[in-house]
Amino acid sequence: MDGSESMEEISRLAAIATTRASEALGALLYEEISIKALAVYYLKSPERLLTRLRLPRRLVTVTQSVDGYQKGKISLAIARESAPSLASLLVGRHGLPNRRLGGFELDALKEAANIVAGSYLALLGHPLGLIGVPSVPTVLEGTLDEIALSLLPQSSSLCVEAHLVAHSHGIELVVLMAAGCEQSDQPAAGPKPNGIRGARPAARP
Amino acid sequence: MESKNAAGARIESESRARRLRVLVADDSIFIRDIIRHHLERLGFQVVGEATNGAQAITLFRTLKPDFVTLDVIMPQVDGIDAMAAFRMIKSEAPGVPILIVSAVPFEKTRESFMNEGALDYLVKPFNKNSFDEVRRKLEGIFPRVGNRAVDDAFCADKRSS
Repeated sequence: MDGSESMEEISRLAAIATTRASEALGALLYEEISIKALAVYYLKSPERLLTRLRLPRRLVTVTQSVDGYQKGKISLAIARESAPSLASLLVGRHGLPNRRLGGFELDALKEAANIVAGSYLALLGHPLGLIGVPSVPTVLEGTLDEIALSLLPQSSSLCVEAHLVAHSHGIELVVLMAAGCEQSDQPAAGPKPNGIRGARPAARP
Repeated sequence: MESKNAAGARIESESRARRLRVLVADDSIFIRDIIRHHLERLGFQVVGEATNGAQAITLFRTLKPDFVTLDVIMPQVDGIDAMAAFRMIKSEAPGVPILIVSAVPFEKTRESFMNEGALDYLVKPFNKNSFDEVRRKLEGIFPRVGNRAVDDAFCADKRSS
């Protein structure tokens, strides 16, 4: 592929990765996790993430940095009010909504994010040039405008955004994988025939 | 004549003495709990928990466990990552099996550890079958892992008598 990966190929791999991530989360939560939406797009600037991402006002995000040929970040985002329920599901306890997230609950959220990141990196790590070992997860809580910059590795990025839902508990989780990319002025979504500059050829998973 | 309570305690102690000792290294207490659950089912006794590679080495030297589990992604302390900890433990005790656990199924990382003598490379999340292959490999090294169910039945029988 002449040192680049086509948008079609990235989208195809993103779909498989999202399925694997939903299965992994399902195994962790003992829940059926469905895929509500999946999009692959370029971001010209971090500000565009504010209009692009449809997320609740207050969020909890768990982010890992991954480097390689490119800089990248993978985040798991959930509404603040859903975070205790998700943590309780993970640790097998039934907590009260809106209660404080304790160390054990945060640890469980970090591990869930770590596992989701693994599903994406296994398939998209090489094509997006993110071949390093992911960092230890970092948890942030705040509004999207406070957090947005922490979700992106650099000003222009190629993003994979997936919305997953744990139906029986009504919890929506958003996965955002962002890889630094030189080609930043493309319209969001849609196939792109000429490849993504800066990405590297993939070893077929 | 030995009282029933004393006999129970003695049998418990004998049973514990037979159990293989394991050190679990993972920065997540959530995952350490899950690993502990699976290993105890296999008959291991978790004798120590480390949250980074440097601590894993220290505890390994102190506790001298029969078996070690090591997470790939842990905070680096004193410049020691999982691979450095793995190599140090292997160089000091080549016969001690080390199970690598990771959320990241990178084939290259897996190969690196397996080529250097890891027992297995287990990808999270675990399910009830995740440890089957590990169990088979451990049975080859520690035959008593396979006899755990027999031991348990024996102890339960003795306790009730």
